[in-house]
Amino acid sequence: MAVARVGTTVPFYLDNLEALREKLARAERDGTRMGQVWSALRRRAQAAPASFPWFTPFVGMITQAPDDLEAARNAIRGYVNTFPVSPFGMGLQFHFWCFAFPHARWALYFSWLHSIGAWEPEEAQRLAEEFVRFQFVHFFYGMRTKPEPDCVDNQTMSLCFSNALIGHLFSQEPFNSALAARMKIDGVRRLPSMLGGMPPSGYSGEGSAYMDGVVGPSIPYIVEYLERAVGGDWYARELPPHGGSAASIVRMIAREWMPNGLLLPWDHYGYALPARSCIAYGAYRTNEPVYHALLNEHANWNFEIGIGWGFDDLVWSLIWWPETRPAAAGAVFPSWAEPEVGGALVSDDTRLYLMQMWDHTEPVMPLRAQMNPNALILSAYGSPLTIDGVPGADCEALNYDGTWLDRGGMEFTTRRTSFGSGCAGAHGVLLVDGTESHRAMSDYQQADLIHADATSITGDVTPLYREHWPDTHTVRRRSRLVDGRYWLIDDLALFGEEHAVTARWYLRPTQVEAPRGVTIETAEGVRLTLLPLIGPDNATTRRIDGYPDRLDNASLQVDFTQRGKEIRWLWLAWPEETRRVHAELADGWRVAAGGAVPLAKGCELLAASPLTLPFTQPAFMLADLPVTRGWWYTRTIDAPAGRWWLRLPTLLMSPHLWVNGTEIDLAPYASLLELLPIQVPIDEGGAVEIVVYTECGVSQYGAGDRGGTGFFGNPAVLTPAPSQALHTATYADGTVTITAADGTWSIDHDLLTGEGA
Amino acid sequence: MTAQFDRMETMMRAGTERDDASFRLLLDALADDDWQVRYTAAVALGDRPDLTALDALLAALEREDAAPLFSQPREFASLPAGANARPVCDFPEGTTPATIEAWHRRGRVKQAVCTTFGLIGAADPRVLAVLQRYAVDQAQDYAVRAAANKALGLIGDRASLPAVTQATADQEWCTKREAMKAVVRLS
Repeated sequence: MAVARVGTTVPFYLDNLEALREKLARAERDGTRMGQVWSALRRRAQAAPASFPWFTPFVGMITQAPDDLEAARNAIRGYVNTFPVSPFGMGLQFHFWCFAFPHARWALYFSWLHSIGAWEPEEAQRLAEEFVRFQFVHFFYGMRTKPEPDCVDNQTMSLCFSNALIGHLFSQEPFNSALAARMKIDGVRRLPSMLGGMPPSGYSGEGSAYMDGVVGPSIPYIVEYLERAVGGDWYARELPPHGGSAASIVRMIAREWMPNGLLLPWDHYGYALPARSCIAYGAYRTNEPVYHALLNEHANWNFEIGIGWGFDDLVWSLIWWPETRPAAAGAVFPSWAEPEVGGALVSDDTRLYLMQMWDHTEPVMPLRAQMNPNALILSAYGSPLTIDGVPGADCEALNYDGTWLDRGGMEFTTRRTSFGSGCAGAHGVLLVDGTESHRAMSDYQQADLIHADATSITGDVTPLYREHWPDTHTVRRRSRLVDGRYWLIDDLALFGEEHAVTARWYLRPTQVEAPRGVTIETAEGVRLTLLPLIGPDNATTRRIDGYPDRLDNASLQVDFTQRGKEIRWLWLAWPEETRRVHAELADGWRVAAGGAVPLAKGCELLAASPLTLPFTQPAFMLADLPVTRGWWYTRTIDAPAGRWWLRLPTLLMSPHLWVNGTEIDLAPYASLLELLPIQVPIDEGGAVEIVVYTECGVSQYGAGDRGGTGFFGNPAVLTPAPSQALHTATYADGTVTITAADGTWSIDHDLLTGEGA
Repeated sequence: MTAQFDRMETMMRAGTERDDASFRLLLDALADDDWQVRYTAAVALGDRPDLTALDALLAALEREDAAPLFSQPREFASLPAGANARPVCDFPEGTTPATIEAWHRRGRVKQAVCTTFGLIGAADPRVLAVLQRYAVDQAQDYAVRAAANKALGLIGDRASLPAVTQATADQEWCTKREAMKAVVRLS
C-alpha cells in the first residue's frame, strides 16, 4: 500500500470543495441561519479544537489554515491512538455497531485530508493501515454477525455502511488494499437492502430516538455512497425486499418533528430534540419547503446527541443544506397517514397536533417496537399534553407480572430488567380485564388503517386483542380534529362476552380541579380537559413518579372503566392556552464570562463587561470569545403588572435566576429545561432587573458537557391569555355541542361503527 | 507497511487466487501466532471453499477452544464510541499475554471458521459436532453461536435439527434468527 504525498482524489462526498467554501462564506457574510450555524461551529473548532474534535476536519477542509489542519490531524491521530486499548472495553466488544459508524467517519475525514495532501506519506500509510485493519477485525466481523438479508435496523446499517465506505476509500488508488476490497464486496451487497428492507412508510419500528439518531443520519451517507460507487438514483427508488426507499425514510424523519419542537415519543425512549442533518439532506434532494422551514425556523441548533455515535450532525447539516429556498411555501407540519404505522392530524396554524399510532409491535418482548395500539400523542400551543417513553431506574410502576427478562451471556453479568414499559399498560390504550402486561405473543398483521383524511383518522387494532381474547369482534379508535380547535375521539370495543375494559391515558402530571372528566395543566400553561361525552365519567387517577424519565419526570395515569360486550366512549379533548407572548427579550443582554460565583460577584463581572449580545445561544458561538463554561446575563425589562412568566431558552445548564436581586429556585425545572423553554412565574411589575447565570457544554466528551450542547431559544415575557375555559359539552342526536369562554361549537358526529374493516 | 498488515493483505489476496501455493499459505496461516492473521486466513478460505481445508480449520478451532477463556472482573478501557482520547487500560495483575489476546479476539476466529464451514458445505461429522456444540453453548460469544447456526443450515444435514431447534430459544436475536432459518432449511 504505497501512499502518495499529494492528494490524488477529490474529497469523498464533498466533491466541489470550492463551491462549499463559497456557500458558507456567503451565508456567514449575510448572517443567515446557515451562516450562524457555520460561525458557531467554526468558532468552537478554532478556539478549542481539542474539545471539539468532530468539527476540526471539516473546518480544516474549508479554511485550509495551517492551525486548523494541524488540529484536524491531531483529532484523527487521537482517534487512531485509541485502537490498542478500546477492544478491551465492553462497548466495542458487544456494541460494535456503535463504534463502526464513527470509525467510518474518522476514516473519511482522514481521506479528506489526504485528498488535499495534508499528510506526510509515512504517516498516511500507517493511519490507512490502522483504519483498514481495525475495521476488518472488528466491524467486518460485526457485519457478518447480523443475519443477511433479514436484519435491517440501525445497527446493521452502521455496520454495512462502514464496511462499504472504508472498503471503497482504501481499495482504490493510492491505497489498493485487498482487505478493503473484500469488505467493500459484502458492504455494498448489503447496503441496498438497508433501504429496501425498511417498510414503505419509512418507519423502522425502533422509535424516534434511533430513527432520528442513527437511521436518518445514515441515509445521506448510504444514498450518496451508492450513487458514487454504484451509480444511478438511490434516493427515490423503492427497493426490494419491502419497497423501502431513502425518500420515505427521510420523509418519516421529518414527520417525527412535532410543532412543539420535540420528536414524537414513539416506542422506546420518549420525547427528544431532533437532529438536523437528515432534514438538510431532504432539502438538498427535494428542495421541498418543509425541509427548509424545519432547518431555518424550527430546529434547535445547539442540541448535540451524537448522530450515529459521533458529534458531526452540524457538519453534515452544513454540507447538505441548500443555499436557496424555494419560492413556494407549504405546510411545515402537514397531516399524514401511513397504513402500517399511524397518522397525524395537524391544525392549519400548527397549534394543535394529534398522532395516532398502530405500528407493529414486537411479539413476546416488546422492548423497542412497543405495544401501543391506537395510542395518542397530543400537543397544543407548543406544549406536550400526553406522555410516552421509558421509566426512570427507580420507577417500578410498570414492572408488570410476567414482564421480567434475565439477560446474560453477552456480557459478564446477568441483568434482570422489565419490559413492562413496552406493554399495553404503559400506554394510552384500551386494557381488557385489567391486563396491563398485554402484548403480542406471535407475529401476524396487527392493525389496519380504516380511514384517514385531513381531519379524521381511524385505526383498527382488533387482531392484537383477539389473540388474547378470542371473542373480540372489534377494537378501533377514531380521532377527529374539529375546527382546528379541539379533538373528538371515539373508542369502540365489541366482544362476544362481557369484559371489563379500561380506557387508560397518560397525561402530564399536574391535575387541576374540574367538575367533569379530568383536567391537567402543563408546566407551559396549557390545559387539557378529557371528558367522556359517551361512556362513564368515573376516572381514577394516579401520579406515576419516574415515568417518563424526562420532561416532568412524572405523569398522571388516568383510567376510565366500563363493563359489557359493547364498549363505547366518545371523548372530548379540549385544550386551552392560558399564556401568550407579551414581549420578546432576545436582544440587549449584558454578558460576562465567569463561574458560579455569588450574585454580587456576578454583578461585578457584568458591570465590568463590555459585551452586549442576544441571550439566544452561548456567547462564544455568537462572537470570537473563549469557550468557557459559565456565563452571566443581565437585562432590565419593563414588566407588566400582575402575574407574568419569564420564558428562558432551552438547554440551560445548572442555571440560576435572580429577579430584582432575589433568587428564584430553578431546581424544579431541571428536567424540563432539557427539552422545552421553561416558563418561570414572576409577580413583580415595572422595571425589573433580570440576572441569569448558566453553564454551557464546552466539549464533545467532557463530563456534563453533553456533546457540546448549549442553550438555544428566545427569552420572552408571557402574560395570561384570554380564557378558553370549557363550560358545557354534550352529545345528543348525533351532534356534539360545546360552549366555552371563547365561543360555541356544534358539529355533527356519527358514532364509530365496526364496519369497513 | 507493517509486517502484520502485510501478511493480512497477503492472506486476503490469496483468497482470490486458485493456485496450490496460495491455498497452502492460507492453511498454514490458520496456525499463525498472530490471531489477526489467522482470522484473515479463515475469512479468505471462505472465499475459495475447498474440502481439503477442513482438517486445518478444525485444528484451528481446537486451538481456539484451548485458549484461555476471556474474562473481565470489572469494566475498563471504556470510552464513548468514536472518542479520540485514549482510555486507561490497566489489566489485572497476573494477566498473561495469551489471556489478553484471547480477550481481544474473543469469537472472531471461531466465527470466521464457522462461516467458512458453512460455505464449504460439507457434512463432515467432526464439523457437525463442533458446530452443533457452538450453536447452543452460552459460553460462546453470540457471534459464534449465530455463525454456527447459520453454517448448520447451509450444510443442510438433518442430524443438526435438534441443535438448531434448541438454539431457537436463544435470547440473543441474531442467534435465534439464524437458528430459525436453519430449522426451516433442515425441515
